[in-house]
Amino acid sequence: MTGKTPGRIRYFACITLALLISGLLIISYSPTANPSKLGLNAEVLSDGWTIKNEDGILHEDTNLQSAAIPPADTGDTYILSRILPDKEYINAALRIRCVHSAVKVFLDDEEIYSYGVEAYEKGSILPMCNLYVALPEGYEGRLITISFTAGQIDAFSGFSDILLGTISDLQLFYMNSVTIPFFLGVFLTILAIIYMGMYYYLRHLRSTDMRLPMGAIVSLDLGVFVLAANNIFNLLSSNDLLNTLMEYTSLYLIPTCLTGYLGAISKGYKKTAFLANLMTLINLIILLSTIPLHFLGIRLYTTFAFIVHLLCFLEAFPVMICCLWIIHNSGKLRSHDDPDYRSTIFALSGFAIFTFSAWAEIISYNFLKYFSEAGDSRVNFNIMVFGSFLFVICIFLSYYVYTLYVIQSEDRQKLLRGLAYYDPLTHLSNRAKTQEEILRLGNSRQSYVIISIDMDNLKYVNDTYGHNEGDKLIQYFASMLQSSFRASDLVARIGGDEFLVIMYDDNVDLASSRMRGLQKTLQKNPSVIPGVTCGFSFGICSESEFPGRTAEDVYRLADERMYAMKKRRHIERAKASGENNFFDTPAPQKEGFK
Amino acid sequence: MKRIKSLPIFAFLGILLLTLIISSILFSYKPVNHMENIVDFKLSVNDRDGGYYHTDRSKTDTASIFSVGDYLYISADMPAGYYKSPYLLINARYCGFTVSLDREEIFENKMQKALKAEFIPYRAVFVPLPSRDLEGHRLTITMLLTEDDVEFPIDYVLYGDYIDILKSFIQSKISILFGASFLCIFGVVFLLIALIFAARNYGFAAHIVSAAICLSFGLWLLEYQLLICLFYQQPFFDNLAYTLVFTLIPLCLVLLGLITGTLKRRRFVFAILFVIFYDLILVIGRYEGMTPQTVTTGVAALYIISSIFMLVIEARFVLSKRRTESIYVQLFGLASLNISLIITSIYYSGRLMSAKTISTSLDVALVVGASFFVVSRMLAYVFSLTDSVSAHQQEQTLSKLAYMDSLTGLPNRTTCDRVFMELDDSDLDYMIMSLDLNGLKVLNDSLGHAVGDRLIKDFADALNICFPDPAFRSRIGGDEFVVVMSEFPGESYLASRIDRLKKLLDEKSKDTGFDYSAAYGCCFRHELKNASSHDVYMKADERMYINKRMTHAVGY
Repeated sequence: MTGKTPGRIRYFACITLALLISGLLIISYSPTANPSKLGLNAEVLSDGWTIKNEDGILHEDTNLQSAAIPPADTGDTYILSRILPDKEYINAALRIRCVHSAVKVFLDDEEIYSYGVEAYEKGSILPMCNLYVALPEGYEGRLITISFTAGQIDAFSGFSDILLGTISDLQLFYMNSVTIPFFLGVFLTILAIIYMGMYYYLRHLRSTDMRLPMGAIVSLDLGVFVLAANNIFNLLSSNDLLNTLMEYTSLYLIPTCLTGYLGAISKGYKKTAFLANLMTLINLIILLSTIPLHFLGIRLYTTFAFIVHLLCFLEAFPVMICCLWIIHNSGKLRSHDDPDYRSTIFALSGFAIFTFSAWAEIISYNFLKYFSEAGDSRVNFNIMVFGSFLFVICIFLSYYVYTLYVIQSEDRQKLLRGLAYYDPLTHLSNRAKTQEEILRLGNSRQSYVIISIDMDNLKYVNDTYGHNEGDKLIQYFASMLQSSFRASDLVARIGGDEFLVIMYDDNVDLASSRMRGLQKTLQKNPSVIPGVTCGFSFGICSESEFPGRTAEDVYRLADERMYAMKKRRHIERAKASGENNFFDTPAPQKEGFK
Repeated sequence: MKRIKSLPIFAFLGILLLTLIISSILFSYKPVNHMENIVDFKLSVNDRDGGYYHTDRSKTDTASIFSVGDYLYISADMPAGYYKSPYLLINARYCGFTVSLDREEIFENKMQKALKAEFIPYRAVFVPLPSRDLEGHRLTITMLLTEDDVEFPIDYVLYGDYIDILKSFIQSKISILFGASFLCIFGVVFLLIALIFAARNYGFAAHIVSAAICLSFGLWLLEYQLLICLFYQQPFFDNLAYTLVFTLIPLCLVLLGLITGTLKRRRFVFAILFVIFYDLILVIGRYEGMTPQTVTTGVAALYIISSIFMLVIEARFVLSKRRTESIYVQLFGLASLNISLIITSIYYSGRLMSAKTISTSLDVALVVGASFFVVSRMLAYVFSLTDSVSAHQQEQTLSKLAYMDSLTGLPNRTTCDRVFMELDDSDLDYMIMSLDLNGLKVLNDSLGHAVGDRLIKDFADALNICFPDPAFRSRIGGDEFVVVMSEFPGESYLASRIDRLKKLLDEKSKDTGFDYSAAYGCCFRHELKNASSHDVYMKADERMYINKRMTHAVGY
């Protein structure tokens, strides 16, 4: 790990860069409502319209945005007319937004364009799309008349701006205004497809979490909805109806997907999962029932939007309660550092953002459609676009949190491994490490020498001076023992007063000379406890004495030799009948067990 | 490493293929009116040096090389057909041009720039024509070249109704449009997220670099495939392709270094520095008047050579033993990106040799390569997710090792210290009992450690029976044990438990003939005022020694 200052520099560098990029993105996204501001050959025809229906003139010389009309039902016809401006455009065209209606355009009573009249007469679904009506040369100053005939109940309740200009510039203006939804919609859709492709692979790795596929389905549905709501599919297909059908289908699927996703993340919370699955089922039934109703000719497929909106609006309450319930309970059960908890929080906050944006969208749409002057023509789906985008990003973030957790836990594991294999008192290796090493040696062809060591006097010190003094003695002995061997040798404390050394070469003489050297050193130096010398017995055994035997056997023999030495020293001590019972004499002769 | 079975990869390819099939069924566009690709041009050239020549050959046969300042004129008779919104789609590079109909100029594109001999990129231009019957009228396109050593600057001229031309233009590039848009947003989103995380954590460098690669590759594809003009026509994007094309290879090299962990090797640093140096030479050369063809060839050569170099490194690394599945997947993604870069470069230089029409299958190959890269990056994240589950389990066993005594399974000294600290934080009354095995030392010394270990295990079992949970039992040293109780009915209960332990140990001693007896001492918190748990323990320890001496005195 680097020091504090580089860390801070990196922190500021990263944050500044992130802010810079987001700033650039915000600057580059500046929506314009007027094509002429972009330097395009086009203009908005907003003023000077006369609006008529069968009952007579409704408005005269009015602005389209302030023209209040009630929601149009099947067969209602509205006729818009005005004089075209004098400005001449090359390849001039009108852009008219058609919402579930049959459209006819007249120039001085001469019909120049009609759209959807056949479909209207058949009673089938009329699409929502942008119509480009090419104007013949010499249109300037002539009277344009546009008639809209609604093809279904509640088809429209206002008129979008009608644009006049060079057809390519009108198209460019449209592309400009849908750039952000286009990019985000494509992102969500392709992300979903990639997720789905990956799911099989991930399941193969024993990951059976339903979050991933459900998240992918949500992302796909939202992506398709964003694209369709901005008429992108019209650019790709000859069939105008395709875009409309995709828009409605994806819209109807939104509540189902959301409750399904909630069901997936609330695994482990029985009540919430039950509620979420119940709502999913209800939504699915409602969705499926629209299809027979359409084909039986009772109600057109595109007229259920209000019901779905209502459903979304109502379900948002239990969904919110479920979210809060999960947050509340998982907060109780787990610590806040738990990655699972944090990833749930991320997923749920994304969920909440989306639900709120969808709410705002639904409310504003229905308010505009049924109550305001401008009607549904004013609706733009950007709140929902950003809501969907943030939602999917949150799904991502929850994965990032996991990544982060793994990176951090690598450090923690190193620490734990240290704890697991080291004796906290002496910082030598411990019994577990020794066992592992002996097992490893049994399988390898390495040659080695095992020394088993047993301290004298520990029991006596513990009993007379207390455990603290005993610990000191152990620590002192451990440090002396450690310093007698190379760093590559394994020096371990395997019990209270038992030590073990594994030397990784076949040199019994070197081992015994080291041990005797240690005995001398300990004897010469004053001990940590006055009057108590730190003595020990040891036994040495090398692997070459037992070719083909396990390391366990080698260790056992070393242990036996250690006990033999211990006995011998007891006898010597008894013979010496010293004034000091606890003064050790060094072992006089070389180990002779061969 | 687990072997990657091929089935999941086929499943992924299956989903990809399914998506392609479904979308190609859903999104098909048939032009309403007939569109005419105008090819039979008569070409005349007005050389900068004053030479003028005239040719009747159609432009596809032209193999001439033109230079800056040359005027090229092509003319053709408009074909039959009446359109409501007649347009021409002209794909032109390195030239400004005007379009005239019967010698009357009706459209002008970047002539001012061309007169100043500034750089003009490859663009698709929609040219509006007057909406009347144009059959038999003379169409003339005048081009002014801005670069040396270039071939015929216009790829094709398509004549038809505007909506038809637009939709079929989009249709021909639908895979690139979707793939590249996705790469851009993916790059931006991941760049931001990775930057925010990298501010406080380590190990995010590879994520940042790969996000930058996605962004740069996506933007470059959009630009090079002429798609950016669908959204923006600002001159800001004019030099984009030339800027981005130089960044890709150094970024890829850095990513490779980060994945394989060889970034700091001297050879690797030299390779990256060399590529940057090479790029710089090309950039400076471009400003100093190097022809675009030379630069393009140079870049294509760099792409091909370094991609092959990277593929070799990737293959060597995959075959070596240092790989994990995560590295394997990341390398796989990078390799597929490299392959698609090689394809692009060959395609790029192929275009230079003969102006081919854009081939859709190559586009698809390019997008598939890029999408494999994206998938590998996303898998690298998700890998960490699945790894975290197993890491969690491993951590649990490790913590068990760290806090447990491996012989008896009782908590060890570390845990005991922690419990003592927790006791200090609470207000509850508690009792600490210190126990010491009397016979261990003798047994160890006389019969060996194996027998001693048996004694310790048996004693621990007896402790577990007599002081069940919630009492805390721990082995803190060779023959030292500690019992902590914070909730118990009373001292009589404690006495009964100790009796039980004594009885159990006596039975064991009789059965085996070894000395199972233990000395013990207890101390309650309320006995000492303002005492820490350590003090209470020391007191218990002291009492244990008194107890030990008494029993020994009795024993002898």
